[in-house]
Amino acid sequence: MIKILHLYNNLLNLYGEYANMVLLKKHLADQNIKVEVITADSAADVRLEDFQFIYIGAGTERKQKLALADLQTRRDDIVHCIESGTNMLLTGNSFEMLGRVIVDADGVEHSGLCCFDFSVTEQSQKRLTGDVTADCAMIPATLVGFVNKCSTIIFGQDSAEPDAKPQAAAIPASAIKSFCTVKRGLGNDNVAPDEGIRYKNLCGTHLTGPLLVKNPLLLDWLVKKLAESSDTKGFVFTPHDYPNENDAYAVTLQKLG
Amino acid sequence: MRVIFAIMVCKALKAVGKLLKRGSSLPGQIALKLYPNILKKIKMPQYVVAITGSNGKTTTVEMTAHALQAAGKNLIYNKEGSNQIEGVATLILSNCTFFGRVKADILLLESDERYAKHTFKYFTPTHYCITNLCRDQLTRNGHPEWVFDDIKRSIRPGTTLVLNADDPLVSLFAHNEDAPKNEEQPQKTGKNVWFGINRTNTSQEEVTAMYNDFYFCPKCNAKMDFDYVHYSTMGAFSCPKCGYKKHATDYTVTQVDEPADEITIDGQFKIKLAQKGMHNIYNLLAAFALCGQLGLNPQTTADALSGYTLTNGRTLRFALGGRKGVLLTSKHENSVSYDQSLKIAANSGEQCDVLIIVDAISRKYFTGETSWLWDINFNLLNNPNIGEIYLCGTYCSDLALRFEYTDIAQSKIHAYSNIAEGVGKLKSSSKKLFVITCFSDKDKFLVLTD
Repeated sequence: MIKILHLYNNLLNLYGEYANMVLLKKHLADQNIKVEVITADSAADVRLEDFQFIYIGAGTERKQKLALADLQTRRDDIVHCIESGTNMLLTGNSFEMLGRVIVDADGVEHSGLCCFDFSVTEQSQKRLTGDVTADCAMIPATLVGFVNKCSTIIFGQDSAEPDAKPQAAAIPASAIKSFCTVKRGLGNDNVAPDEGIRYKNLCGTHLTGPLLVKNPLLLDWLVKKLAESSDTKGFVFTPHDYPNENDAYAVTLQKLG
Repeated sequence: MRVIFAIMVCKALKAVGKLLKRGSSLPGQIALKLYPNILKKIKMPQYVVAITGSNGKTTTVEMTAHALQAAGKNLIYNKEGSNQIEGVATLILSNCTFFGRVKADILLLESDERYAKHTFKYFTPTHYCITNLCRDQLTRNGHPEWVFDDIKRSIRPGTTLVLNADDPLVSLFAHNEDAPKNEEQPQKTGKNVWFGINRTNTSQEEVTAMYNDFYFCPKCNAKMDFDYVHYSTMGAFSCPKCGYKKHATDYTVTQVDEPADEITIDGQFKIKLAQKGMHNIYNLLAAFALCGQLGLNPQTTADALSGYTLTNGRTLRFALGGRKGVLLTSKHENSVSYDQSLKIAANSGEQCDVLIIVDAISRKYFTGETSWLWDINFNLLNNPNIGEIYLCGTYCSDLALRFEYTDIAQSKIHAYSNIAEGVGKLKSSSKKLFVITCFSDKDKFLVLTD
């Protein structure tokens, strides 16, 4: 039995993110793994440590701040989940909540959860959007997706304002891997190809929407990972044919390639 | 002198453009290069009416123009595709005297929702209608709140706002007459005029779309209530915590008689509908409200709009082999538009097949982004009226995958990446056919019809 938490499904759901959970549930069921997906509007309504997988999707800049304020009350639990190796996936701007600070377009500083040593700066002049192809260590194929954001993410203490207060211990930039390396599209700082973050079993990426739907191999990777971490004894991955998923991926890759 | 010169160039280019049958925004673009502030120097007519929003701009402009012309008003207005500042400049400069006076009593503008903030730096509309804001072309627009902020920057004090009271985001644009004066942001005052549709026989009790962007109140973030919903999140919203709710309306559809395709506005003005769908009723109502604000007699407006068939051809009839059908032009990357079209097919009351084409996601830019398919409620086609469902075009597998997660029997679904091949299979039946696709793809179907 795998318990999945889709947190802020009503607040952060801008680009069809729910489809990730729909397909993940189906694929786990196809492997004969029992799965339960719980949705929650507030982290206070659930015990985060009860779940084998936590998913959070993308929201508008305003809604992300609301989620952040809510998640602040569970900061220690999030840190515990990350360090103890809970599988987590945060898509779109939701992973920005894990950094030191988000400076919004009006210059207002919103304290992040300080799990990781990076800082986020938003602007309101230009929407940064575009198709993405990327190399991703977890899969032996090109990752496809879309970025839709207005922020720049800079890693390391140096990025903080000179007068920034010393903050709670965040995982240093040197310990954070990138989620993928973009070949086409925008990375974290909109210059270098490094995109997203990966640390233990947490993945954060600015790729929006149904990432798992668009990338069958990434979904396979996650299914295997979750199955192996579950209490299912002697799990053996059974390949299934999902022609529409594979064809849709092939078309997108061909169009973007 | 510069004014006269810029106007002359614009008029000359416009004349040449007409001969060459070329696009309509280039003359304005060049005039703006010659004299960036040209629009500030123009003597505007008594009424400058702007219409913006996600959906229905072109239709609302066309209906308003038709009613105003029927009432004998002297107006100029822009046609589809020229709603950014260059197109607006072309329209204005090619319709003014060499001394910069617009030769019309009313200037009616469709205004791009993202670029209105630039256009209205140079002149201020007397009336500004905002039809609705929804998820639309997010690959370009980001999201509705991002567009909201852009439109907000285009609103000036003194403009009469004509607002959709059923839209929780649009309603936030209202001038706040009670707001305390703030030195940095001068008080933005002006008249608010509201339009909306009362509860109808087909109203839903709650949001039934695939997503609800107003699950939480946009003012105070508490869980929002809906008394009734017409579609998407359009309806009588109310926040139990802060009291934000659908505003009382000045122009109201008081009855929708679906079998008769007729609506009643303000309890007395009856209008026959030439186009189906609640979204078209909103367009009609917005036009009715604007005409009312411009001093038209409401009966005159109602008579002009009754049974009026749009010339912009969003609904097209066709013959294909032994079939008759209707093409419902919808917008890719816009689930509200798709849901409305799906409802029309599902509620047509006759046995029909449906063809959906997603081949080029946009005609203006490239993207391979298909997440918007998950925002569309394709389950609306899970209806006994609906026979076979054909999915065609480059993205037919994305569509077919989306349909796997509906309650519709998979045996009804047929996917063909080659549009001609899929359409060829459809020719043998005599059943009615609904085709749902976008501007970018509709001609790929129409060339295959008889």
